Amino acid sequence: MLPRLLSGAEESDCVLLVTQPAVSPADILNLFLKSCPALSVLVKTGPNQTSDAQFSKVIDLTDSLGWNSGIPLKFPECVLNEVENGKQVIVIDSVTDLLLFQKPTAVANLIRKLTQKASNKAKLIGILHQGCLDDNIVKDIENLANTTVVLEKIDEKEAYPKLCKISHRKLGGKLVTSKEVIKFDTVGNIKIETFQENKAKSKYNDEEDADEAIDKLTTFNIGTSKNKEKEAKEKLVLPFYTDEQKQSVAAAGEVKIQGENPGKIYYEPDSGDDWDDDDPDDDLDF
Amino acid sequence: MFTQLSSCLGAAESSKFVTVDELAPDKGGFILHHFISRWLKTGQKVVIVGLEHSFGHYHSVGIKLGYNLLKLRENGQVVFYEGLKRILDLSLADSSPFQFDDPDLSSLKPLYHEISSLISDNTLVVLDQVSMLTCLGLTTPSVFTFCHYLVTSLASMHNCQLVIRLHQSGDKTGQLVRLVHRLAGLNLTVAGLQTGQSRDVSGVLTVRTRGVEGEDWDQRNFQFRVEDKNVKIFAPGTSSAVL
Repeated sequence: MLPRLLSGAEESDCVLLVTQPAVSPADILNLFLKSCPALSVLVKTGPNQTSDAQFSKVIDLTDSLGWNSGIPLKFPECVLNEVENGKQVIVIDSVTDLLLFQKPTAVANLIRKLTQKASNKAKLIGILHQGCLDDNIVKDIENLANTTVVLEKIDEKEAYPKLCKISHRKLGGKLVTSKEVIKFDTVGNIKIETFQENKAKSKYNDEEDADEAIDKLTTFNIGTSKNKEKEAKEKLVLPFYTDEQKQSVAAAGEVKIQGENPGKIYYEPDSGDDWDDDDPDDDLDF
Repeated sequence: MFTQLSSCLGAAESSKFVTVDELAPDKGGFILHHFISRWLKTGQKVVIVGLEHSFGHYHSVGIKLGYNLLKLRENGQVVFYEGLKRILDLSLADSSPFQFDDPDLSSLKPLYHEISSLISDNTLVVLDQVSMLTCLGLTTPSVFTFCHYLVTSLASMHNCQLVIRLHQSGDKTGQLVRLVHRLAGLNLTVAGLQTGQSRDVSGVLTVRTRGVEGEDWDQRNFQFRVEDKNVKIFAPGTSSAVL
């Protein structure tokens, strides 16, 4: 899906790059910018963000509240008036700051109007950060975008490969999702591959092997359950069972007691018992 | 200045904006004193915005590390802004510029302007600690706005550095920490040991450095031990008690 989005085979007016604060979206953003040879505009909301160098126009909203200049900017007109109609790529870095400094409805209005302006197969690209805003607001903004690309690290210690979870809404309304991996090849070019779930599962298998190793090392069973205990109880053969009862346990897994009425008591006297049929109360004089 | 901390931070020590994020209370104070002593040694100006500790706290630590903050304050090299006291006085005033009853994004605008007036080129600004503002009823967006404007203000000045200390406990402060982290070039996270307390290891220090344009953050983990006049930094599991 990602190569199709980059090549333009899949049309998308609004792309939202959702990233963790420690993950840079610059590589994906550069791919989108290179694939759209058009006028590029950056809507900048703060320092330490996307470099201005690759953009033909920069709209600076760093002082949108007017704390330094004394005059707050009128939002969203301050952006809409600077963006011309026509074929262009508009990058908002970042939508997170806009949602914090302005009302979410105004930001949604801006995105909608910019999408209308970015017509003729051009794009609006917004950068949103996970964990920095209320989930409801993030979901509402994601609904405005045709395409949402969620960037994650596969390995916490390594910058690459990165996992891209893509949700793309086609022109007919159908939602298509895919997972792709971005990595560098030996030459240093960015390579896009389909994500394979097995590689992720092998990580979890390693964790299960560790649990099995712990079970083997301990001398007692620390992971019992009711079913296991019941099964072990039924299989248990007590020493006073007769041979027939032992065989029934081996065959059916349960003890069968002889006799027509299973509730009866069967007594077998041994040599020490004094078996006497007389009534022991005969000598009593009532 | 702690030489081992300086060597483990490397070139990132000169980042314009540094955050010190505490997962356990009062574990990260040594980092602030490291930056303060580093700047005082070069004879440059230091502005300390105290939102948690009094001036006496910094002075007593400074005496141990070899500098007299009282004399430096008299000379004008150190400026101490009593943040909490100032906020309290202004809030109790008849016409308070702070809007704590109905906080919005501009609640801390007066505080920003007062601090900005103290800053000039070649200045270290220490904000200790920002999470206290959320305890006063201010919202996360308003505190972030305050930090955002401080960062943009210092970004336009020559040879300035901003060090912000935050305490993370719960979702709200976690959201503030994640927002403020995005602005920084160097994030230092200080936490206690997961297994409990140790005489030989005071805690865990995580150093995150913003990569060059387009690169992800680089992360390194260390353990540290705070001594009376020094801090020892070492790789996890290599403390002197173990080796």
